[in-house]
Amino acid sequence: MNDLTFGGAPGIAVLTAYAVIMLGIGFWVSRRRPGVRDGMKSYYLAGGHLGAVVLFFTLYASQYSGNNVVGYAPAAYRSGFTWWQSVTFMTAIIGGYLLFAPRLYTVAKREGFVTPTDWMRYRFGGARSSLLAAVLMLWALANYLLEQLVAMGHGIAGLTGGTVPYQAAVIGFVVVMLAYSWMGGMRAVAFTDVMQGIALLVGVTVLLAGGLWLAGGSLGGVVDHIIATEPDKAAVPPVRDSVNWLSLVVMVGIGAALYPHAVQRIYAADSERTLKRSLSRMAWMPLVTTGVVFAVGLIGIRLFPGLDDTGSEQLVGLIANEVAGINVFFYVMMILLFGGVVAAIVSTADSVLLSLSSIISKDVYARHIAPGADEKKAVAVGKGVGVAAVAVLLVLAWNPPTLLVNIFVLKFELLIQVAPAFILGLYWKRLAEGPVFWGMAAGAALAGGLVLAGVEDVYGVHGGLVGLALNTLVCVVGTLMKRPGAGPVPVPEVRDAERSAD
Amino acid sequence: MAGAHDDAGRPSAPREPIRRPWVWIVTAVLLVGGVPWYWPPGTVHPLVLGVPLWALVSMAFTVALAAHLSHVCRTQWAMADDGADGAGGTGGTGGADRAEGGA
Repeated sequence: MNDLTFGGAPGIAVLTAYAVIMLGIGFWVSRRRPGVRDGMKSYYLAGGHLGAVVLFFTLYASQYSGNNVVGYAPAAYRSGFTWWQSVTFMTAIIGGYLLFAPRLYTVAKREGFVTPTDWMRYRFGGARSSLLAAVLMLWALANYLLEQLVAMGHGIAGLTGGTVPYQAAVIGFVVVMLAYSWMGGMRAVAFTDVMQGIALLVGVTVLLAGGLWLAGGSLGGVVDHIIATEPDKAAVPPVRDSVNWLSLVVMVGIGAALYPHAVQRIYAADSERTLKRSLSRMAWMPLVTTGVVFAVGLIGIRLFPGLDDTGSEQLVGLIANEVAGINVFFYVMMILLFGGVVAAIVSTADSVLLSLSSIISKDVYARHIAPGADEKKAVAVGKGVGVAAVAVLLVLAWNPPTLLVNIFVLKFELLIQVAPAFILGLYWKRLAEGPVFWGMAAGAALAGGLVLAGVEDVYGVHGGLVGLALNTLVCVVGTLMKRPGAGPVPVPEVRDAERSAD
Repeated sequence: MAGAHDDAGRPSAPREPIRRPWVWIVTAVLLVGGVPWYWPPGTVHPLVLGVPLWALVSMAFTVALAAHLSHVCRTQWAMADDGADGAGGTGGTGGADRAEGGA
């Protein structure tokens, strides 16, 4: 993506336009709602008043980052048809939401939750399990944010054609992101997501159309070419790869639904009806986003055969260069696509940063450092630590410490360890705090240890799921071994919900 | 917690996907069926519509999964009267939810 023929002045113009629009949205929100920065719920959850359209787009733009375009097309190029699994695992995320969102939404609205950790504290009482969950979530968020910052750098470098030092451009965009987030909080982030989501959708659709044009106008011809030249990419994968496929679907399906910024979008919905309608529509989005990117990757096999792993990473840029050469329309659309990719990265990064700041504000500062501090000050501290986190992550992104690089791979493996606390915790009254804490700790240690030891999977099953199995076992056996009644705090609201659902 | 209401405004039991075993049986079948473990590894042919049949079957399972999950969101989820939910609830009614979701 570093040699876009259409990069340069037009790219800079598009990026500038995106930046101005995003700042305008932030300014508009702050003028329309002057008190937006004064309270945690108002700042971090848009007051819990996101309507159907905005909620849908903020779910969409936060879940689909630039990596879903620039990273997944090369994966389809390398793996062929088996990469269809990406569409399945993105769809499975809605199943992940259905495991806990209906009841969590009800409890969160009544109790005024702001962060995912609020559920932990409400359900289990003990500080240690809440703190461990906060640490796991912060770690996953920081790694996710780091990925977005690196991707932002590559995207901007490609689009500006090297005419602007890319580090300066990234800092410029980070400042814009911070500015509109600070002015309008979740409300500004969600409204900018509408623009960013539309840009991404239109961009990938035009990329597919242009790619198909170049490949002779028929997907059938592309498949014939793949079967004739690289039949392995059209063949049924080995059984171990199939196990790995199912494992990834389960891990992403549950893990991505539990991302703190995803959980906070459940809290931010203005009604149950809004939330379920948005999720109902989201179930179809992988087919028109990840599915389209999958097709682009297959077309790449026809257009640019023989790329190695490193070369294939440039696939989207290579195809976009060719598509931009078709005519003026495609030229303009490719500039907009890459602007859309950068916007998609920013839209994911802003959501992640806001979520990270909220956990710092509420779960760390207001809970452990300055209990009783007023909300305005806690929000300010969250913002300040958020800026510091971005600064540290930028340094890491540009000077990756080689010895520690494996640590930064850990994301889903750790995040998914909070699943029993949410899913079992919502439905099993007896689940006790101690086993939840030790289960999370054991699961995170096992999953993290496997990844750091270079063990990618066990008989095709991802380390994160192996850790989750141990975690769940500790939760269940540990709770059953405890004397009934000696367990954690009573949870009348959960009992009410259960009783009424029976 | 205020419960959902039927079309006539009478209180009805809330619907929750986790309480419906068939939702998860269908989900599991669609997930497992979408993985090509039951085809001989290395198989490419037959082609249907120019695409290997195994891939087409996998794609069909994913489309069915999207349809199933979308349908479950709309019809098997009615926990509360929106707006009576506590902080922040503003829109909609349980009746509207019910009507949207069907019987």
